[in-house]
Amino acid sequence: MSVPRFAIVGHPNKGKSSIVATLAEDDAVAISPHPGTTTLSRAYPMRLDGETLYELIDTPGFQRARETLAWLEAHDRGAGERAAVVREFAEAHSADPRFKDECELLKPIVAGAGILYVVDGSRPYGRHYEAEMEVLRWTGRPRMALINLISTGDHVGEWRAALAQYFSIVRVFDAVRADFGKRIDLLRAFGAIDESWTAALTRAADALEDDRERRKHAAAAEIGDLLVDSLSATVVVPLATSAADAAALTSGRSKLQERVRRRERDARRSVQEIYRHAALAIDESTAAYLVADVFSEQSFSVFGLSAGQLALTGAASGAVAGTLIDVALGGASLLLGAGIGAAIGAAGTLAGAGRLAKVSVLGQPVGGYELRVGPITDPNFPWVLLGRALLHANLVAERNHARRESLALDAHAGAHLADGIDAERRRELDGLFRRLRNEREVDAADRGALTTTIAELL
Amino acid sequence: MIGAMPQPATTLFEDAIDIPSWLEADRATPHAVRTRRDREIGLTLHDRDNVQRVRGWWRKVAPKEEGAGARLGRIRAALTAILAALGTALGVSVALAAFQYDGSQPVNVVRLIALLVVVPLLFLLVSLLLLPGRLPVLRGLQDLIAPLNPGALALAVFRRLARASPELSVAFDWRTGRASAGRFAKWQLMRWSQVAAVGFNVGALATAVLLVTFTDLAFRWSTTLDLDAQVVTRIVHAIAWPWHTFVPSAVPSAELIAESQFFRLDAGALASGRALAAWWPFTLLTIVTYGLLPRLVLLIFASARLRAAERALLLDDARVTALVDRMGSPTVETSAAEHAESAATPTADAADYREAKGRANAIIWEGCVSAPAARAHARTRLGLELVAIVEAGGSRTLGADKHALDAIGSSERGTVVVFTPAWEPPLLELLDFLGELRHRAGAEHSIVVAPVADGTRAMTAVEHETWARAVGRLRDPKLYVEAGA
Repeated sequence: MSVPRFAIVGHPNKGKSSIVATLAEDDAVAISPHPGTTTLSRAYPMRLDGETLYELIDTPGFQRARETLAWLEAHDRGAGERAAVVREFAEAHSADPRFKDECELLKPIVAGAGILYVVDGSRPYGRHYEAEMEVLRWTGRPRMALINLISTGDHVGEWRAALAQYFSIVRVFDAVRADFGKRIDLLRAFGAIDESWTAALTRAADALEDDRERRKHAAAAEIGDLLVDSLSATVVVPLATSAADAAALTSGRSKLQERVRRRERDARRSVQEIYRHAALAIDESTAAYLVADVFSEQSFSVFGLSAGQLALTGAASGAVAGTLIDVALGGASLLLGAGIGAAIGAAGTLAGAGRLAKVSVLGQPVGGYELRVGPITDPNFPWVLLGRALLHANLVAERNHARRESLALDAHAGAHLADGIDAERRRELDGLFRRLRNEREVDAADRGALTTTIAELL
Repeated sequence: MIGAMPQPATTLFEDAIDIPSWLEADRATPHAVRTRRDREIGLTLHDRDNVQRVRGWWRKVAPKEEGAGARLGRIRAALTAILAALGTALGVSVALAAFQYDGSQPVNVVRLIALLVVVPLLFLLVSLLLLPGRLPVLRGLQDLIAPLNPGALALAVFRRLARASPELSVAFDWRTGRASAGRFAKWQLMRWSQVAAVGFNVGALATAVLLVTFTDLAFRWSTTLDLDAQVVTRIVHAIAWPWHTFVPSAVPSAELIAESQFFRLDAGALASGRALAAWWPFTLLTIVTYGLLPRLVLLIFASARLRAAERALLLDDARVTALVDRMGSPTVETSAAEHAESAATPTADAADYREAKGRANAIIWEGCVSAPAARAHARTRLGLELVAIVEAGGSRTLGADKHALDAIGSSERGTVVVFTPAWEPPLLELLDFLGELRHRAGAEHSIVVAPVADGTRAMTAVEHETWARAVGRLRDPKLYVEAGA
């Protein structure tokens, strides 16, 4: 069975490359507001462990469609020979610079590719498109029309009516704003234009969905590691005596903060790479929340929990510990354990707020002392770090590869903040944060559970 | 086993150090490249054990240069050897002191047991206190006794020597919060501790055997405590209980014990030398049973746990976990292998048309505007009164375009305005038409391309730039584009 191949064709500058960039999740595809950016056909194979399941081919746009059609009509030998005449056109003009674009776009089609014809539904339909649609009809290849929406106008109705004359399947697809689900829907729909391709495309769509889940899990693991690394981070400053001076304390704190900042930058870069947005920049003017320093007051006020939320979360964690005592005593404690645990948890959490990191001086068995700064004990800090990471990861995950501007916050940004996390998950996370703060051991199973919780939030 | 890999040249410890470090540097490699590389290697590995898979992967990507792991491995081996040597030397010294016999004062079995059994057992207890981990109730005591442990001292020395990288030194901090690092450090401490203790007991035992073999020792027991021979007999028999069925000759009899009691003031009343020498099997088996064997058992246990901790040190690392995932997950690639370069920019854009009074002919391309609207546009935006208007392009044939050009050619000569849809890209087909128009109109007359927007909106800056750039390709000095808003 041949691999499904799809040539993305149409008028220049109607979003062909945007559709390819979106479907191939490739932000390196050249996209420009000026026509003629794509000069050569280029294949974007979808490979699963090296096996090609389908192939998209970006092509240059038609430049001399009427002249091409005139040549075809002049050489017409009847309907059964039209595909052969198109092939003859491509062969006859392969060295003619006037028809370079037509030959480039027809080459994959005469080689057996299906046709995805792209138009801009935000601009009016014009009859000058009919020549190129007629040329495509002459090829006899299975074809589908995609109405892309480049700007704000709405001419979808008139386009649908016209396209239906040439294409059995017409779909609207916003290349720049389509989310992952819409992209997969479109891919599955490609199977409708040729039944023999359905199995391969279904397999490809399933593989892409599995891969998407894996990427989400990988991003969650990256954020989980960021939290574990940052919350358990300690730095050591050698001391001559057992007394820590102010300079050593300042040095230790700033080293610790820099380490966390660097770790956050690394995690962001990794998340972007996981979602194939390696080159994505953050727009400083519209995404100030993400650009602000993680230790800044702004970050704490935007991403941190309020005093009430902190106290409630601490109380919930304390109550769980207290309940264990109640259970151990068979209820003889009249639930005093849970009550006292909640009070201690809330008080302890509030008392820790505002104090950044633990500081201790340790003697060394081989002589000398060292100042240990860390782990970070501020109970709000993990929520700040988590909130920023979730916001960033969600923006990146939802980001379409056809977009070329920097990452900016949209109106839904508030939905990503950590205070949107439900109480149960917050309590689970708080338990882990406490263990890290208290230098308890965190093993691979804990990290796995943390990854799962974060994946549910993504 | 199918696909079993040959034994690696590096140790698990070295790999547990070098692989995460290498993976950290590997973060600079693009994610897609890492994913493809690791999956390809993963498909060639048939081991199911993740440690073996990771080490098999490492053998394919490891640099030829020696990593930090090899250096630390050598330091670790050297410290192990030093601890074994120091333990042995101490064991020899203590045994020489305990078995000291110059012919005047026989070896006191009580002192011997105290030095070679009781004190080592106390140290064993100290070691065991470190086993439960960092329990809150024990933490203070553990911190207090840790410096007494030779393993803790060795670990401190090791951390100091390994301090080239903060991350590495954390891996050997038994007080760290990272589970795998803490566990590794604890079992490394325990193993070193047991190596020193086994060395101590081997040294003591070897010294005792040599002294028994090459010198004539006499053993007696003596104590200031008010212990009679029956009590001592019960104690000695309790000590000898583990071997009393296997080596009954190494259990001193009640008679021997009674005869062996020694008072300094009664130094002359000695039993026969042969009888007194009969203590030696008991002393040797006491060292073996209460000194050497527990330490050997602990050494084997600590070695096994250390091996498990080394596995955890390797696998319980987020970067290694991600590597295992990459090796086990199918790669999905959707990008092109390479990307096209952008089209070359033309040399210069066409000039903007400056408004001037006069008359002109017009061509409406692709039906982008009605004739009345074209007249109004020419009057208000270009200052021109249109004389003749023809249509071309769009659904018309190429022959119809030629007729349009003929009509313009037969009309009054002068400026020609070509109305085009601003929202459409300027096609080469149109440039062909403009070239033919110039040929028909003559070089002296201006041709103005006037892109008109759809609906009521004005031409955007991008549209103007697009048209000026395309028309500029014709390098026609009298070919203009209507100025933007």
